[in-house]
Amino acid sequence: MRFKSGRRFASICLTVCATLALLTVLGSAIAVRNASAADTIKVGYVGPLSGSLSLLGQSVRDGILVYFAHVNGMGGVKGRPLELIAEDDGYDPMRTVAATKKLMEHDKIITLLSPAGTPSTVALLPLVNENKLPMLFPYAFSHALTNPTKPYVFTTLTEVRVQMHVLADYIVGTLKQRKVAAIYQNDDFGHDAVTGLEDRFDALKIPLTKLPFDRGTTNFSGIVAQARKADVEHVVFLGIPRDAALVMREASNMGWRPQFSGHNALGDPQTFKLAGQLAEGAIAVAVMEPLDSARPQVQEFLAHQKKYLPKTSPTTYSMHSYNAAKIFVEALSRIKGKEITADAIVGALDTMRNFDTGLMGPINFSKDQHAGGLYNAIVKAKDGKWHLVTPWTKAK
Amino acid sequence: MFFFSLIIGGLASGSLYAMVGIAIVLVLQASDIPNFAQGEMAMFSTFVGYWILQQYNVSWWSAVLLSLLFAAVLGVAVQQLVIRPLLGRPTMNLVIATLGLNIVLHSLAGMIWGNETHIFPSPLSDALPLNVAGLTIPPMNVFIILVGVALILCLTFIIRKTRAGIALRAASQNQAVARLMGISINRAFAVAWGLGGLAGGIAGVLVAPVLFLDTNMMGLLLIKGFAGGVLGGLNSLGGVFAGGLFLGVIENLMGAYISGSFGEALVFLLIIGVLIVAPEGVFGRVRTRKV
Amino acid sequence: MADAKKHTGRAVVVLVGLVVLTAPFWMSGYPVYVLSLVGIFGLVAIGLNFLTGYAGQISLGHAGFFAIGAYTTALLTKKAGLPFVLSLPLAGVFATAVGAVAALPALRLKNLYLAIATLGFGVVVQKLLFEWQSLTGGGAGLEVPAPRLGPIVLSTAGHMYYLILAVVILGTWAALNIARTGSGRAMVMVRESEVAAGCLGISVAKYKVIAFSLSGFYTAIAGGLYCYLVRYINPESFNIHMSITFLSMIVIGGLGTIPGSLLGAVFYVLAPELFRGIKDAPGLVFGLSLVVVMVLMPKGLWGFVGRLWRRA
Repeated sequence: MRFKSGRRFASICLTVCATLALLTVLGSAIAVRNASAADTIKVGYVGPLSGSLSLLGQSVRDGILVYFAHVNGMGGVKGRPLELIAEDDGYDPMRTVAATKKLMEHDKIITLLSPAGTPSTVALLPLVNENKLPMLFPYAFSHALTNPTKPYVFTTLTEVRVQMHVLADYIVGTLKQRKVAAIYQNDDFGHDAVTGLEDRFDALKIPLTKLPFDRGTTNFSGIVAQARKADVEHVVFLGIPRDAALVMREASNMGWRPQFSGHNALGDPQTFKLAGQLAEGAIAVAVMEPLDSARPQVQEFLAHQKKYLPKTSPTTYSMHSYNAAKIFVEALSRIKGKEITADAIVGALDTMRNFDTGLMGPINFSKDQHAGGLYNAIVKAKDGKWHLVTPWTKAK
Repeated sequence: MFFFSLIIGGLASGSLYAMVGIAIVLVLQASDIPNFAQGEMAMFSTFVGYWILQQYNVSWWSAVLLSLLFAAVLGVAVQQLVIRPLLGRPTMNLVIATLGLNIVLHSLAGMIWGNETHIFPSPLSDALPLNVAGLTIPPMNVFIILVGVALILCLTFIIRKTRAGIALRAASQNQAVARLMGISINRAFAVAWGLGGLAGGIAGVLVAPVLFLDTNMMGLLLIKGFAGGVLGGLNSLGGVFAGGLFLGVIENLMGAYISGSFGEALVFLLIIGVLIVAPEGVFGRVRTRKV
Repeated sequence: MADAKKHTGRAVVVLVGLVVLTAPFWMSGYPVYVLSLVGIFGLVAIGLNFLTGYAGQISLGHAGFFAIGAYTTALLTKKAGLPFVLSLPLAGVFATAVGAVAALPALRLKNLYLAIATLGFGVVVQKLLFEWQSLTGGGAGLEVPAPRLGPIVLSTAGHMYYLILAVVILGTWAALNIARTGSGRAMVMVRESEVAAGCLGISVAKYKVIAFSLSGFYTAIAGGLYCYLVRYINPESFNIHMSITFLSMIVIGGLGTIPGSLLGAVFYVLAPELFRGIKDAPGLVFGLSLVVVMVLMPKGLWGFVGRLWRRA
């Protein structure tokens, strides 16, 4: 009997070993291939390339690819081409950590650029701080990214809490509406957003009707009915444009048309595509210029995406990461000398003042302030486009 | 008033679960295999329909009919290529194979048609909501329920009265004896999966106008379809349908009256509670088997 | 001929043993991390195998046990400062208790009904962890300090690898022994025919509860090791996809066999690594590999290896 279990154990080890050997051989083969392109500046990206948020993950990746293609077409940075290595994490923080470890050790990336996903990027904080890996301008909204300031983490996307402060001020101050409901994703992002709203509403003693929904759900009829019952005049929607369109439709089916608003993701052409007329009059917080803006840099971005990735459509996601890549390249070009290191990049960013990419308000970083996106505005949906209705103001 | 709007909304959402449930249970009843690829198969055939509609200047009905044809063919193809070689193997193997197929179809759809969300038109797109006693009822979902009932009646007729249907029942009950009676098991299962594919395709073209068309359209619906089916009882098409509708309603009621954030968990707790009392679903008949 | 086979077998065992035991010394951090994940999933697979492979009870909710293990261990370490030799077993015991209770509603359920009920279990656990913010940190997740035992702190990848290796060896040995005992055989009887088992005087209910509890224990310990490995846990990860992954692992590896469980874990962790390079289609190839393995290898990878070995 003892012999039998020993034999089994042997077989286990045999298979494990064989696979290990295979992996090692493959791993070395891949490493050799990577080593040959030693001159390139290797940048990593991790995000949900698959799964229900694949549009977000792929679009953010695409924005970086577009800008890198543009820069490489002009000779690269300091004569060196930029290379993006993208990994999929399926919006699962565990996979995000694993993918980033692989990017660091295996691909030897110098920076993690615009990773996408709120819980995923928070999961990376211990890792990037421990390994001194710059994590720049994630597409994420979490308060934890810049509070307290982390030496290697920089953001350009205003955190959703601050966005909600801006929105709440507008709702109460300009729209003079006091009966508000929040329909939000029941996850970290949604909770953070609601905290932002409550920061302002509690101080003004305005009650907020809170209606969470599970990400991925198809049934919005219940919560829209609840919002209507609470007799609200304004609905803040916190989720993806597709779900916003579903909520708008539900409300319309009930013959109810409250004022809709949302965070910056709402201010996207997708909202019009799916909600059509129902989106007219909705407002959103803007962190960047709307895609329909006349500013030349926005037009240039649209043209570049059409040129380098014609099969994809520009979205607020890809514009964010295009902008991120632009700032990154600017930081690289400010580094004195030939050597590009993590600390050099961080140093260049820490001294960046009033850098205008043309796609959003001016970026300001300092050693103690790594949240660069301090300017916000409100956009309104009119005639199928998003228009600025307030000037760019610095958030308090 | 509020209560009734919750019910109506719940029935509307539940109609989607119910349609998916029919497709699942059809194949389950006929071949004893839970098809975890059903959602993505439906999504795939709906995309085919959408693509035909965009590329060629055909009427909506033609595009939909073609997509349903594709769905039926896809069902048969899956049965022949994946299920047939695995006949006689433990059910778990088949389940995992269909799960693999699920992933394959999802990735393939993303590669072919991209990840963006599209509007899928329907003749009822512009129809105004019906107004009954002060309540607004979305016409599309009423249509879905009607189609569902009609489908159940048709399928029940096919299974009970036609030769193919009887062959199907025989094959699912006792393969050995069915063979002896001259029934081709392979043909019977092909018919079952073809019908299942068709039902799934119908679900797809009905769901798409309501939820928008993208590769993730059916993801959660598959689970809800199973859950609703389990709640109602997997033995009968009617039970599954009713279960799906009921699931939508209790989702709304639980969310509104008990807890919004804990709603999904509570729904499952309710299902578990029901199953403790009725292990084969509300309408399920506990099958007695000779040992 | 048989003798040559025996000698080759033994030589391979020694070689493999050396490789596995010395890995952190010559492999870089990431492969060691990957191997650590293999070990963790291997433990889950062994546990789930008792429930689904031996006792024939399907579970679509084992991410729930994994989460219970991870959070219990994390909280015991963070808030009570317990050393890992206490936090891990305590997490296991707690999960065993939960497993025993969770088994009760499941006693009368079969197949898809059981699957949906266990799915519900997983969803409830995930939601609880998410909503109970004061305890678990909710959606913001929980940072986990490094495991310690007195003055010893396991802070490097290498340390964790050896801890996991030790637990896996211990767990495999224990599982092999359990499989051989009356309990193991009773579970198999329950799977084959509940009626016959009942006729033989085997309490079906008792063994179902044992199967659930045992699988909960293994999975929770794996969860605890996992939280020590990644040092940050978030309820988002412990979802239905994870449960489905667990189930697929044991079927691919070889249902009802312990080596199969480990093989399944190896496959599940390593296959995506191998497919990483395939542009835009890692998911596609992975899904295809599931279908192909099921079609070509009815008894899973382990059955296939066994067939090769016998033919050699």
